[in-house]
Amino acid sequence: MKGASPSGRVRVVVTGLGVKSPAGNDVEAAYARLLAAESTAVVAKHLVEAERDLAVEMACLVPEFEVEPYITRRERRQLDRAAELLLCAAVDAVSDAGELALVDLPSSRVGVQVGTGMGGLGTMEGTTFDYGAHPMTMPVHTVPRTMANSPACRVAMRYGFRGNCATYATACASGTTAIGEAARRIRYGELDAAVAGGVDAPVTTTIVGAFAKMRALSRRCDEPDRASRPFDTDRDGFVMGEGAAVLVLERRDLALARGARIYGEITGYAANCDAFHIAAPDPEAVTAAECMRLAVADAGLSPGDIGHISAHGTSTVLNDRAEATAVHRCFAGQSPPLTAVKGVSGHLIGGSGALEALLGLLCADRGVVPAVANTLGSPEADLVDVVIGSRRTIARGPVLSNSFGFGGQNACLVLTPPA
Amino acid sequence: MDLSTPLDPGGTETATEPALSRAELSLTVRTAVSDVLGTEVGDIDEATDLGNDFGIDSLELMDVGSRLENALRVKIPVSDLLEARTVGDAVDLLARRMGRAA
Repeated sequence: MKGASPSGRVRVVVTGLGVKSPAGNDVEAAYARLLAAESTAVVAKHLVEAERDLAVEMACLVPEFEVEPYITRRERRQLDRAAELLLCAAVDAVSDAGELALVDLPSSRVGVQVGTGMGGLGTMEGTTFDYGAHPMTMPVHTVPRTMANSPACRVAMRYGFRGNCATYATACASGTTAIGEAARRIRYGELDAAVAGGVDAPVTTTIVGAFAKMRALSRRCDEPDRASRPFDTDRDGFVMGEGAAVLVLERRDLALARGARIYGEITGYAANCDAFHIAAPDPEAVTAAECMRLAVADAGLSPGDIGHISAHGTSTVLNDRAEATAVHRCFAGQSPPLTAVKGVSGHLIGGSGALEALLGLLCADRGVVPAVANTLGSPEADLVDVVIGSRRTIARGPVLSNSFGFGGQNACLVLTPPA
Repeated sequence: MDLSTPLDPGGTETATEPALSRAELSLTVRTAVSDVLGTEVGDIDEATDLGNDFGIDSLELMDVGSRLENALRVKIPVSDLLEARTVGDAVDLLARRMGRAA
């Protein structure tokens, strides 16, 4: 097969990165914030001002930035916030990879793969509030603004990428699914390059209220910056976040031939489902452990080769305990250092897996495992090696990036830094 | 100007209000067009050709129509929207629909 290595496997590399996230709006800013292990959670003014008596009014928000260099006023009117954030992150990733080189590829060989848990639900919520009583006065662009595949299709339209364009909904694992599926499509020979990532913009009164009703969110509202504390003894739920992260993936031989900068390689991916409960993870975590094992095996590695784990680590008791159990099972008690980005970023729902894969690859390449923000001590310390207090220096090596979504959705990636 | 909220908040008063002048009608149309296209009102005049000058798409055209319907409380058939080539044509058509001489 074209582009196959001697092992017969087509290799997929990462050549461009872009983020619009609470941790920062460029990659190095987000990496620095992660290393500083400082939470980004704040009281969200717009949730307070809505005066809806929400039990939770804190969130991790994308810092304001100039959108006009990315999107014209005319186009922006037609975009939902999720589409806007994803498109901006994608533009950064594509220019980072080299826009001219990408648009020079046959357009049918370049695809867009995006994960989102909520899609345009936030805009539909606003539309319902504003026009529910008089639907025929609603804006004409309501459907294209709110449909879940808008972010991906906007990227395809921007660059004329005519290959497979798909949007994945695996709840909190959506971003990881999108990157894994993109890598598979390149391996399979369907695409030569893909813009892949995840996004959500769920910081609205109804969506935050809905998660608060499930008791999934932290109630540490008087100390927002202490609220997200994955694997910590005193965790009490996750903090809602918004944002997008995008990676450009390319067939390795083509990327090498054009002299692209290579951040690393997507070496392993696996996905499965607990088939246990619509929201809670299976506490026995056999299926989640199997997902990790399959991803490591897909990379042609064994668990001992993994340098560190970027955990899903939401800061809910149920997730963190099940994930620790899964890691313990998969690594047979020999857990590599484990960190959790959500201590800093909050939970970007569909955006999280992409942000964590991106930052995990940078950490893997730089030989650093950041401390988990806010976490002081973990009841799971006997199961996993949670990095607490200060960052850990490790040998450069592959990272396992985990995502687990409502519905029992498990998705794991292995990303390997360049040799 | 945000035309998603009607210009005439009283609504029911419309019938008894004095008719819009040609200049007022023109401003209303140019405002709707500039809101949809993300331009300034001053960038749009009656000679502006929405297809040739801006490549307006069908949804954007429906958006202009919807804004005008809300602002002017008048039904605008799709055929009118498609027929008007320039902004001036649209003003003329609207003036006729609203029962006034252009």
